[in-house]
Amino acid sequence: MRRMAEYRLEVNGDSLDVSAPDHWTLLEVLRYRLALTGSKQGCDKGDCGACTVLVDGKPWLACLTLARSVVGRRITTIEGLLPAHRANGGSGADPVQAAFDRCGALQCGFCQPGMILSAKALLAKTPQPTRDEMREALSGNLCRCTGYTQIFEAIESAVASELGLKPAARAWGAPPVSCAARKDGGA
Amino acid sequence: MTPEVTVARSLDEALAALARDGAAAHVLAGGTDLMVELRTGRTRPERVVDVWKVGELRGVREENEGLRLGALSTCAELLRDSRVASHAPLLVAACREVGAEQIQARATLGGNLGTASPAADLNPALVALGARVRLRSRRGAREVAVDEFLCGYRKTLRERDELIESVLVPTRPAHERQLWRKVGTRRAQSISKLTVAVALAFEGACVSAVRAAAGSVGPRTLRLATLERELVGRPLSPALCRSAAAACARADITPIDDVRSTALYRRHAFARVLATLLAEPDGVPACPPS
Amino acid sequence: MSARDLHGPGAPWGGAEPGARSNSDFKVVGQPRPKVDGIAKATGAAVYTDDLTFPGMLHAKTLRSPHAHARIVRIDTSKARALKGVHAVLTGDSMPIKYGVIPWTPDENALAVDKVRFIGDPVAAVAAIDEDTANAALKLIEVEYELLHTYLDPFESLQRKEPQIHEDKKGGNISKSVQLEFGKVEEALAGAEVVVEDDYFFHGSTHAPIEPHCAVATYSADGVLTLWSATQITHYVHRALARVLELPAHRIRVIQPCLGGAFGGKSDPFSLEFCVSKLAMVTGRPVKMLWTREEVFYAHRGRHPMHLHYRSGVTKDGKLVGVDAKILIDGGSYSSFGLVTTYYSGQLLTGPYHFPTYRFDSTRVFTNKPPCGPKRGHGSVQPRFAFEVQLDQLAEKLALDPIEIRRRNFQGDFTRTVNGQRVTSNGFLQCLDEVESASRWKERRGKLGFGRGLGVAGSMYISGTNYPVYPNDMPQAGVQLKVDRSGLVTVFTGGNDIGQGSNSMCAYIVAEELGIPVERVRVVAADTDLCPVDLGAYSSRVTFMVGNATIDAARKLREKLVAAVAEKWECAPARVRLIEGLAIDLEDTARSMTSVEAFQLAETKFDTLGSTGSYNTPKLGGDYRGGTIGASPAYSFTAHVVDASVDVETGRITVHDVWVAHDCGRALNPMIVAGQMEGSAYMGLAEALFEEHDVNRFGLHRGPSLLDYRLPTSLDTPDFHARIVESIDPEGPYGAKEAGEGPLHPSLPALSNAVYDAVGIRLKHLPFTPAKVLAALREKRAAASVPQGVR
Repeated sequence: MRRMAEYRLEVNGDSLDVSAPDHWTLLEVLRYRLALTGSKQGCDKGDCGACTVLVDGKPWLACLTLARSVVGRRITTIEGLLPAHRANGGSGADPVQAAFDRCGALQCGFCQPGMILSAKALLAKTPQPTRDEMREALSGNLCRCTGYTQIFEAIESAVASELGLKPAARAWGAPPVSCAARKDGGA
Repeated sequence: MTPEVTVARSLDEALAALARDGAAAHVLAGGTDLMVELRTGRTRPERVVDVWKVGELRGVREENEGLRLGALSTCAELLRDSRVASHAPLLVAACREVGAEQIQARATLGGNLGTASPAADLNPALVALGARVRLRSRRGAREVAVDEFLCGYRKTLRERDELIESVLVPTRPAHERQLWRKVGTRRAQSISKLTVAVALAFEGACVSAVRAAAGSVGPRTLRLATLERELVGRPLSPALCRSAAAACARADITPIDDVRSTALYRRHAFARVLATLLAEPDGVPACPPS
Repeated sequence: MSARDLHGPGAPWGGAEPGARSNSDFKVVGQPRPKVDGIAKATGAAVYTDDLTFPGMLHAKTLRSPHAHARIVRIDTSKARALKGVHAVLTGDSMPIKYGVIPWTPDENALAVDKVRFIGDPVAAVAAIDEDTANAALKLIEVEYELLHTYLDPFESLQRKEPQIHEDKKGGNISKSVQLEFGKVEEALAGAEVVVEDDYFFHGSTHAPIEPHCAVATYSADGVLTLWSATQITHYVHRALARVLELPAHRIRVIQPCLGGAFGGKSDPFSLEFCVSKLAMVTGRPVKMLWTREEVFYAHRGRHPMHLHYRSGVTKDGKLVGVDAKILIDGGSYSSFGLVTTYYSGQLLTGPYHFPTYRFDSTRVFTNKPPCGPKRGHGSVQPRFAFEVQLDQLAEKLALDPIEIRRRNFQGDFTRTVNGQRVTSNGFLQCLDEVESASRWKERRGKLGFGRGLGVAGSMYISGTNYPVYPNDMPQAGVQLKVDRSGLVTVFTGGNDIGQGSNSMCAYIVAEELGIPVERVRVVAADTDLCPVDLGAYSSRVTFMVGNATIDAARKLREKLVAAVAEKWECAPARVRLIEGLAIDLEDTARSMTSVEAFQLAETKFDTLGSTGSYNTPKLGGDYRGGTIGASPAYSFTAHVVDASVDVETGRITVHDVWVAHDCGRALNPMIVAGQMEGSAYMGLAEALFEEHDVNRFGLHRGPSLLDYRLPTSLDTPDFHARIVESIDPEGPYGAKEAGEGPLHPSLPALSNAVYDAVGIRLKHLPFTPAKVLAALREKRAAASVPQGVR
């Protein structure tokens, strides 16, 4: 017999009533009760970081968190960033989301909700992070597609546009090498 | 069967739940172990007592005998605390290499002790620091040296109605060097292949007291008795560092082959890492809180 | 007619002659720009398979074998069926028809029939009201097994014939064996100045996409089955479902939602796709199955472990005279793509270097382990590793610079390989030049002191293959365009966007061809009801083939638009150009109309607007059995330089920088190409240093979690420096070739070669664990007969 628990969660600025089995994790409640499917399940064991949400602004693994244990805490999911940005008078997506899009950081995209939230938390704490600080802050979010480079570049791009700086050069930014020039090779 | 979850809001509530449920109940703190066990079905408790909201288990206090750390102190909190940084830099260094930011926000001192995994990174640090664990139940409180408390593979002296309340890290001697090294499977989100923690007190050039412990090289967190014996009363020459480390690697540890590494590697790397570590002039710096 | 007959590699307007090389002729292509689905993914709005929920949906779970090799004596599901909340239970006899992605080797069942062949083999499936109930029901299923001899060592599988893992297979436990010789290898090697002969081992590794496999099925009252699945081969899943479920294919619709990574790990039909379909048919309710991370490890289809023996000879000036390979491939328990793997292990090595003679003898055997299949760089990463390390061994014997020996053996462009493969564009020399200068190779190699070094390696890979897995002469790729009166163009493509950006690629091409902004193109992909067939995202075929099909479709539509505008303006069609959302008259620039007006004009003239386009490969390949396997319309080329150091205390290798130069023909979006290059290099280094997919002595996976299967974190990943080389292929879409798999290959040998430069140990057995490094260093010291304890 499933024991149900009833409680109220503060998610993306809304107070939402939840009724769910009492052992459900925050990830299960977000995805399967509140239909906030942006938070992803990659491992269910706290190994991959795809389920990362913000709890009171800090990166939090929703898959290891009993939903009831975050009653009264401020929960932000990936779906909360754009509306918050709009509510603050912004246009388009949240600047970090926009930078991830602009910089090619999204390949399959599955790790990115968690990654973007970890990046948001980093930037809230450290507005101009170094590469080492980024590596440290994102080390709990596994990405299988990018090799992380374009993610770092996206964060740098977000910082640059926030502060009105010239964006740093991209790792691949040099113009492609044409083969027209070289015709001497060959066995 | 899915467990029934009790969310305790105070120490009394938590102790009452444990007294009532006894062997059927598992304590849930940060969830980095138990939530995984529940998900995989490796542990199937009838009841879970969630103590995450028990305020009495949090916080750091200075006491006459040393620094008292609440059982729910997370790695992240320990990393931020300036008293811990100056008192137990070894512990801070260990916390820094646990998981990644998200795990550090959840992994607790009490959880490390309660789970008693031989690969738990904070436990060798606590043993080397001579820390004592305070256990509380409705029957009362008692203190046990961490070294004794961790009595076997995932086994502790905790009775089923007891809760790990806090840990006391005793006052440090005047001239002390704390040393820490972890060799992990990767640089974050990593399980240790080996960890070693050493606290050395000096009188003049000679080692006057030493406590040392290692993780992931035996069925439980191991005290390094041979190393301690070899070092005490002698000046820490490069030759002694090498010979003591070699003797320790032969006598004190019982590594095995597993998915993280091999016994041969562990023994070999352990000797080398320990020798280098002992020869480091400054030990773990008393780093500023992050 | 195929697209390749219709257009060259140039820009749609003007730059159409084959030699056109300038990116400035393009308006959309060649620019870094976001992906069409980027914002949806960044905001959490993108819908992946597990994000789908349907009213009344049931959740399904799989019971898996706890034994590596056993006969099923008895299964009793009655207690599970009786559990409250359980709606259906399936076992092997519910779906007895075998399938396999390669139609010649169907040896899989959705659920085990009679036998299980590895720990994790699916045995039964339960659909229940929720996952907890389904899991509880699994525990109530009683299975009695009779244990059989377990094969874990591929050498044993080679020798021992009984018991057979697949009893209906001829030839004991051999899955596939290929022996091919081109020229007289023995004679050539006998005349070589230097011959190196050595053994290499490549371990198993797996894809580990962050999204686990998931499938959802509905079965309508009028008998239409719809399957949403995290697959990269919608079309082959469609065919397999029809076969196994014995449904006519027209009553089946397969849809791939947004996909959370694949890398080859989602390119077989999988048990869960059949199970949810059958369960939906049986229960009349929607059914979902989401695999746990652990189950993904069991389903595997990752890199084949290979035992490789190479013997290569060179002349005194370093030119190869012959290469002789003998390879034993550990296939695991099922065939999967194994027939192709076996060929690829030999066929794909014959570039970028000229092999005057070549021979390979590759045998794939069955073992009782999770089945292997195609992982990024399918079948060719392993031989490439062995050969590129051997090339450094040869260079060392001749005291030649490792880059120089590679240059001297360059095969050239527009040539034919020793095994009869046609090579068109080839920018490998430019790749070598680029990594040499960017890494400051000449100043730094051999001069970084003990503990740090540089290594180089090169490679070649296919841009699709002209071997469709089932024989047919229909197009490999089809695209359909539909035009709305609003000016929106919708592309329908069977191509699977698995994160590599193929939907974006289609949109860029249509925008380029029709002179409209990318925002006016929408892409509907990988839905078998809506989209023309494409064979799927594998063998790096999508950009090349779907790209060409898209150009084909767009040009047909463009002709109509231009004709309609020309008629209106009463001018020659050649004067009309579609550009930046307008149709303009090239000779009277004051005259223009919006593309929306042009579309409406064309609809008025031609009736409802649309077009189709397709691509099929030309006839390619060697004239011998298997000669078409590995034949590709174009090959990509890569070179890496790796800068690494070795901690002699712990044996840990740290990679600092990787320079990756890759000839992708033309970069349709350089940012996406660079992302593929960086991601490939990352994945190669990951398997070299961190990852190992292996089983224990019982056949149980040693660490089926993302904790113990160690993907490198951001702290473990070096800096990548991607240099794009453009050789402009005559047959690629605008000259493009693949970029998603080739750049993985050189990572591993370049790292091994860098370690040799750093500390003088030759790592020939993957993975390069700290334990192996320390052991090799010990051996080296012992060989140098330095007294023990002194370093």
